[in-house]
Amino acid sequence: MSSNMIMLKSSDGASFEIEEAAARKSKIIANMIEVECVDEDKAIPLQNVTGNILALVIEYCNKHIVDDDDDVATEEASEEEEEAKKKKVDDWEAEFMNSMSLETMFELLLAANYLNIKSLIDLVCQTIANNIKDKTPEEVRKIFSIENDFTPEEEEEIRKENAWAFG
Amino acid sequence: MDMISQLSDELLLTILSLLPTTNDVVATMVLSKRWKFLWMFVPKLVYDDSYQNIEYARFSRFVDRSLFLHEAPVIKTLHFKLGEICGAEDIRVWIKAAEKSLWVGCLSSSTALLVHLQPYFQGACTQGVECLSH
Repeated sequence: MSSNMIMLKSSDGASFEIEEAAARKSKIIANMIEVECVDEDKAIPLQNVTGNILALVIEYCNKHIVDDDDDVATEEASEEEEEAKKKKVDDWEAEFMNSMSLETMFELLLAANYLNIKSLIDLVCQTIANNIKDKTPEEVRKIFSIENDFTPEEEEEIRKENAWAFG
Repeated sequence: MDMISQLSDELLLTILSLLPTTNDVVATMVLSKRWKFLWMFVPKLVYDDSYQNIEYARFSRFVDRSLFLHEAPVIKTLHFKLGEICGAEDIRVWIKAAEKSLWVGCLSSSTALLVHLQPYFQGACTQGVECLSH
């Protein structure tokens, strides 16, 4: 059954073939398959996802469908094996997130959110959170180009009123 | 507007929930107007005083204020990591302050209340924790 292939079409017209099992990582697509509104000869149009982002989503889903299959096959795997496997996935995810710009990361998050792929949402959110932790507000603003729309007086007042929260 | 500030509240709260401690979360209030109130709705509170690297009075004031101002209808995680110096009465009050939101969390999903204490101190604090399990 996992060899069933389906077609996805990005907003800019690029078509991708993907195993049904991988595509099911997306709850939206899984639902479409359940209610049988997927025509075998027709690509599923994804209007909010561009081709370059969809390629990343598919790369992620393909990688993780292999891991899920492994889980079933090696139910009695030893603890060390489990750990080694988890480390391999973690390394792959770190490399995957490292390979993209911040802008791509946000587009990937919006796509994961639209397609409802929980584990990918969590992965991108964790990567963004790692860029916020242990940083000063000034550093966080710089990393994400956040415009400080408080006047200096307003900011001073927030810091003064909430002195318990800073320093 | 920058890309991160354009994310939905839901996604920003997910990101804030993944920060290690509530100190990191609360500090984001000063980033810009978009962020000023977001921290109050993060359903996870993690207070870490286990390193005792600030004086206890300041730590307890931080917990008091942030719990008082916190607005999330549901708290999914309330986690205290406390060191040797910590007031038993403080913990009871803090858990009491969060109780209502924690109860909602208990009814709707998996809610975790974790209190990590020095071993000799546990007896003094369990009373506050037990009120939740009744």
